[in-house]
Amino acid sequence: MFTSNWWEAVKLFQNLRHNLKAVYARTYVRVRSQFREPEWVLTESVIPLLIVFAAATLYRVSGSEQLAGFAVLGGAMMAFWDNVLWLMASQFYWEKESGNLDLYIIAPVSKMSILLGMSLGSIINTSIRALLIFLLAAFVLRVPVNIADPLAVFLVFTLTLTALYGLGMLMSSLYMLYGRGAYQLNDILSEPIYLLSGLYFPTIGRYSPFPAIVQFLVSLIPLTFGIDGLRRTIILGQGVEQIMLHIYVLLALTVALIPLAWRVLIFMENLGRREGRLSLRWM
Amino acid sequence: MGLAAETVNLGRVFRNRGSVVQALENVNLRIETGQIYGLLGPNGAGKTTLVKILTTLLLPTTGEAYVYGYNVAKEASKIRPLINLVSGADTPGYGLITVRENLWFYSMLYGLDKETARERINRLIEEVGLKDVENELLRNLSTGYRQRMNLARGLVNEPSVLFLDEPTIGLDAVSARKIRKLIKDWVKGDSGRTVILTSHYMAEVEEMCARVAVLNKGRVVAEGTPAELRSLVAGKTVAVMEVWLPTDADRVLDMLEAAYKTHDPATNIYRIRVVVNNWDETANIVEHITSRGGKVLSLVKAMPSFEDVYVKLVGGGEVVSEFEA
Repeated sequence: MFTSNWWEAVKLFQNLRHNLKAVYARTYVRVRSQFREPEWVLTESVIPLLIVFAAATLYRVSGSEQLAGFAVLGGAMMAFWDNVLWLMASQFYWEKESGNLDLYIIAPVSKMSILLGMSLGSIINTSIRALLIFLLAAFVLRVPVNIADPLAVFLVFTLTLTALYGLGMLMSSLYMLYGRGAYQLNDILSEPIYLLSGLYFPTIGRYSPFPAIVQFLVSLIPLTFGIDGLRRTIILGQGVEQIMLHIYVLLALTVALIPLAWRVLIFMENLGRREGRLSLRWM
Repeated sequence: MGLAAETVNLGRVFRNRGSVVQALENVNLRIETGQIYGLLGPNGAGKTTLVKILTTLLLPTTGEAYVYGYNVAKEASKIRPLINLVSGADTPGYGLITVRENLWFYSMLYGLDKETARERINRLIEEVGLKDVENELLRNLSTGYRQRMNLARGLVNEPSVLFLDEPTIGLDAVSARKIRKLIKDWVKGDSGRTVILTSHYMAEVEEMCARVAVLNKGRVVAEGTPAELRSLVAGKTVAVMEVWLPTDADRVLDMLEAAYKTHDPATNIYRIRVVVNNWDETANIVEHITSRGGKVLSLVKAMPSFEDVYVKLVGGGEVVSEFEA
């Protein structure tokens, strides 16, 4: 009995270590690739920066100084949503085209480790871009930054990313069997999420133009509470006590989305093996 | 010797937007360890589908398949550490990292420790001939080097069964020869190693494989050593003909069962090979062609080749007869 338990524990540890290696390796590929072409950080920052400048200027000339600051944070977070759509959700389409997806499926490692590695690499890469957008926009537009509680900023930022990339992993799993249709879906999802999640203007709370029911629905998008929490902690100077609701919601979304992504990934892999849509590109 | 792979009444049907394709039907194979086993057949014969099932990428619709005794449908997690797959049609890896980094990445998916990974990657880089480009970004590599990298990747976990799906497709003759040699050397290196190779290059299969299964339209139409398959045309003769036919008269050739042809549209000249039981039969063929307005420009007697066996088994049409890759 003791020997059996001990052996199980050893196997569990070896399995965990094996999967952590895969997470690290996939993170390394993504981060290393970006640093081999650093000019992409600049080019991919231009569009969000232009949107930020346009929105912030519009708010400023209409007398809403505080909303101008909100637009800067929205623009920075836009980089994460773009990344989730184009480099998480539709990533498996690329992997399928190159033949990598087949190799991931037949590798004796949890496919969730691959997704985790992709997410970590994306978070590192996109954080650099988001920081660049925020700093440049804040400097040029002279947005007043008022951080009273760095822990609150850290908490809400971390939880926003875990929930958002949990959604990215879920979308990646759902997209696994699809081809170019994933691109059209991305196009359909892109702008409405910009609008509803509050990237341009607050969509929850007292500044929101939406009725309560819409506010509730948009709060299911991890970005919505994330951006609002960041605005409160970075622009309005609020602390942990004032953003407890944000922390709870983001925590709940993280806890729900990541295990859901795992289940969906297993389901889609089995469905793909059964229907033949996993690796046969003509289907 | 044990069995590396086995299929029992294996079948696979694809349903897509109302159409039904029977990709495999009642396939029974027993592949022993320690050899290169060939799956030969024209496009759409079911070779890749069979490989996808054995590599756990696809489930069978009917029947069963086993790799090292493990059921592909129920015990995929036990099969995966034992196998790897190299597909010539794919270009896996990441373009913005180097060849060495790509190999390291894949070694991590198999949980290799740091030292083992480094030692094995160094050895594979030497053996596969990647030393000159080991620190090059993958995207800068030629097709030949990419295929070598792909093969090294397939060997990084030292698989017991390596599946090679058209590994030399698109390669020039020199690169293809190097890949073939590497594969043969790898199998010879350890008696427990097995390669299951799909190809539609007959000469490649004949040169490399200890046994061959010929597939056509999802069924195994013949199985055996290349010598056993060659015996299917033993005692027969091949007539190699150059024939001119009037426009839209190529159906004249339809009666020549198991003939294969190449056609030059500019001159409307067909080059055909027909297996005949005895040379006298060629007179009937010549008569058939000339009576329908065609002209026989040349007629040469030849010994049957492995290609003729293949054509006899799967029918006519244009085939790749040389190492054109």
